[in-house]
Amino acid sequence: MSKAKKIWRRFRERITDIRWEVRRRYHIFREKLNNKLAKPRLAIKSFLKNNICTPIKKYVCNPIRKGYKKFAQTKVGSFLHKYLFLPVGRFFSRFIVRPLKPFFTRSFFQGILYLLPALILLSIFTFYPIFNSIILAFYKNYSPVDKMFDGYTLDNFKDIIARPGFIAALRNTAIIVFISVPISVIISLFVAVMLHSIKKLKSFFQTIFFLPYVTNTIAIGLVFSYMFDYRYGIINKALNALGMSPIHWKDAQATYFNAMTTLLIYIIWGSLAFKILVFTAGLQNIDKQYYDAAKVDGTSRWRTFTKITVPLLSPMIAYITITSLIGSFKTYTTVVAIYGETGRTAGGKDLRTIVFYVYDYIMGGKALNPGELSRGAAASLILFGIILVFTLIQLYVSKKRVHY
Amino acid sequence: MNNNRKLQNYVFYSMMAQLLWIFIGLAIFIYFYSILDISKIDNIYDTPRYYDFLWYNNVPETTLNTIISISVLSLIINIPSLVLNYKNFKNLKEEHFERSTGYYEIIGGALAFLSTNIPSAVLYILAGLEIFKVRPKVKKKFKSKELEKLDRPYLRIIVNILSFTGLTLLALIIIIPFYWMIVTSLMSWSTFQSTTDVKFFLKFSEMFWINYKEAFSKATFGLYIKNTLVVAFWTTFGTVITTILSAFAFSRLEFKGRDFLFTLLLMTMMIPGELYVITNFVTISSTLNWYNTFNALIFPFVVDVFYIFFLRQTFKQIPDSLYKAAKVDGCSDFKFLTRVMIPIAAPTLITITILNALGTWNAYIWPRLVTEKDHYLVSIILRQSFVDADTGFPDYRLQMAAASIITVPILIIFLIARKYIMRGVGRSGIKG
Repeated sequence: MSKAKKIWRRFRERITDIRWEVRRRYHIFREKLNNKLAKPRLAIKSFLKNNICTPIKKYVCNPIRKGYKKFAQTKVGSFLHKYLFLPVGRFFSRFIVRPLKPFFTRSFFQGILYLLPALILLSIFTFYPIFNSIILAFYKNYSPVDKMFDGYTLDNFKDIIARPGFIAALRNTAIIVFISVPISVIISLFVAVMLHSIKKLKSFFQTIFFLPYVTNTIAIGLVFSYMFDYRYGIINKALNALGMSPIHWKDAQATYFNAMTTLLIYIIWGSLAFKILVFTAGLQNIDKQYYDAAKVDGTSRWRTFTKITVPLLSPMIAYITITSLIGSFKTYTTVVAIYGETGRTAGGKDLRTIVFYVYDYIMGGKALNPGELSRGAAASLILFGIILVFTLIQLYVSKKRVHY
Repeated sequence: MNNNRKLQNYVFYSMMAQLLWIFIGLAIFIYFYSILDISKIDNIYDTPRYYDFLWYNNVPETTLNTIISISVLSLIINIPSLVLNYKNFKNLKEEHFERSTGYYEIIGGALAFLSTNIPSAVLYILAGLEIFKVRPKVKKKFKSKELEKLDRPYLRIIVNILSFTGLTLLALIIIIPFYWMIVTSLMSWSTFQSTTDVKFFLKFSEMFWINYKEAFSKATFGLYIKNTLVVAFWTTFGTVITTILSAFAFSRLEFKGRDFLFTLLLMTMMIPGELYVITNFVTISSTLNWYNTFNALIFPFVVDVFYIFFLRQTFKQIPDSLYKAAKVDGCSDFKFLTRVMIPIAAPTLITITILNALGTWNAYIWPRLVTEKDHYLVSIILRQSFVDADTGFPDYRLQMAAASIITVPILIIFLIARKYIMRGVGRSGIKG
């Protein structure tokens, strides 16, 4: 016998030993389980069997079966059996009973049991609202008190669009989205690259840059509102020290441009944190070999940045850009923090975004009036439509994988 | 071993000294803060106020301010450095330390010296010197010579300087609002009003801690902080339970329709929350009759799909052989979940807890819609109070005091649990 065969045989023996051991343990385990579970379960089972199932079988099922057999032997009966009952029965078993069968297993019920708390709450507060809000937008004169409405219309959408200020709200949202996002992406990209190039104090800087993310939007909004104050604000005091005249940033005399600038500065300040975090994580994942190769070729730093760093980060840049576009369509709290719930400066400059029109119909007991909620739902649907377009773009982009 | 014993002793006794200092500082702070009397406030004239305490009579407020400021400074320095010191102490016991720990010890000593805690400062510096003895300097690592030739040192220095200045500038821009918030909250009325000279730094005697007391009593802040803590506790509790159960079902159990359900849940993450709000408002206020109750603030936020997704990823990393071994030994699924999976996934659960609690602390829109004044959370009351009803002009000092009451606890939690928070947020990518 060759050496290899010997080893093989020994290996086989060992394997069979292990297999027997596993089987033996499994049997012990089953016995233990049976001992634990057998008594109560069997008692219930036998009770049901003796007192309910057997009598039903004896006195209901068997007579029906016998009667049907007799009926099928007659001429009409055999015809009906062949062309009606049999096909219908087959259809049921094939298309209804068989597909449903895997759902009536122990593992399925166990899984559902674990998911039950989450599923109940989700279906009340997430799944149901999606459909209900869409339908709500088309109701006419819906009142939330008695839940009555008269018919369906498209007037809610017309009302929303015709409302004075809605077009301005669309414009404001567009300005916020298309100015704040590119600027903050570019700044945070540069900051991430700078963070990547240094060695000391890296985590110190990272910690500081992340601060705006965790803090309360309202609280820091109030701080910004104070910093941009005409009389007491630090910005105007600094301008004064530099010999410039103070600017009306956000008070009654402020122009639309100044008010929007104040808002944009706050939004950009707050949105840098998350992007810097993601970009630094992305930069750490880039293979160092690329940079070494560039170094060997004597490539300049700017060229390395544009030809290596940006292309390799491009999936991440695309992802961040689109998610933050989607996020800033929903801008609300930042505006409230600086300009209050009216969303206007004291001089009447309108800085409301689309989301204001959703909440406007709910706040202050307004929702109880018939028809008001439907308009809010219509506004939220318009917002959802805009966001959906960007989500689809994101899906398309992430499938195509932007690359160099 | 002898050296290490010495080190441990130094660090241990400095910890004890710090603990003592913290207790003394807290006692001083609480006593003098409670003496301050808001009924003496007169904003328009800002007249000097005098207090009597113990056997002293007619002490000016500036003296009290100095005492409170020093106690706060000592607390601010001592508490975090005690935490750091404790970590160091554990590492020293297991001999896990490097030369850099010595630098930290010496910096900590300098800070302790600033906080008037001289005994622990001395012990710190002794410990640092001891570490330098134990871990002598090591020569730099090997670096390939060819690449080093290609390195242009002058360029690297320039780039380093540029990036450091850039980063410092941005760090200043990020820090200034926080700093200015705290400084303003401590100003007296006359300091705040003067437009001619800007005080960027305050002396200890100029820090008027009475502003905080006034802010607390004017907005009845205690009630709203209590409200927020109650809501945060119950939402976090519920979220953790539902998340653990459903993440377990999605990662370990195998049943028909599991993947379909999971994709369904992930799809809901793409839908903006504004779409839910309207129907949820109807459900809460008229169907369930929960308007102006805590239930309305808790139940809609007890399940979060993102956390389920996040915990499922962690659960999936636990090897399957563990599950099978436990099964063979006769362990039930639930027992396996509580005894094996939850301890392994504890860091992720900590992340979820902190992020969820922070979310409640910062919540504004939904609580504003479904509650009235007695059930408001902190952000709403912060937005609505401290504004003069007639002129519409805000009292900035009190506003800033209230804002720092809300912000500072979060900053402390963030600095302690930075690792957990940043890891959790890096995965999400939802907030703009």
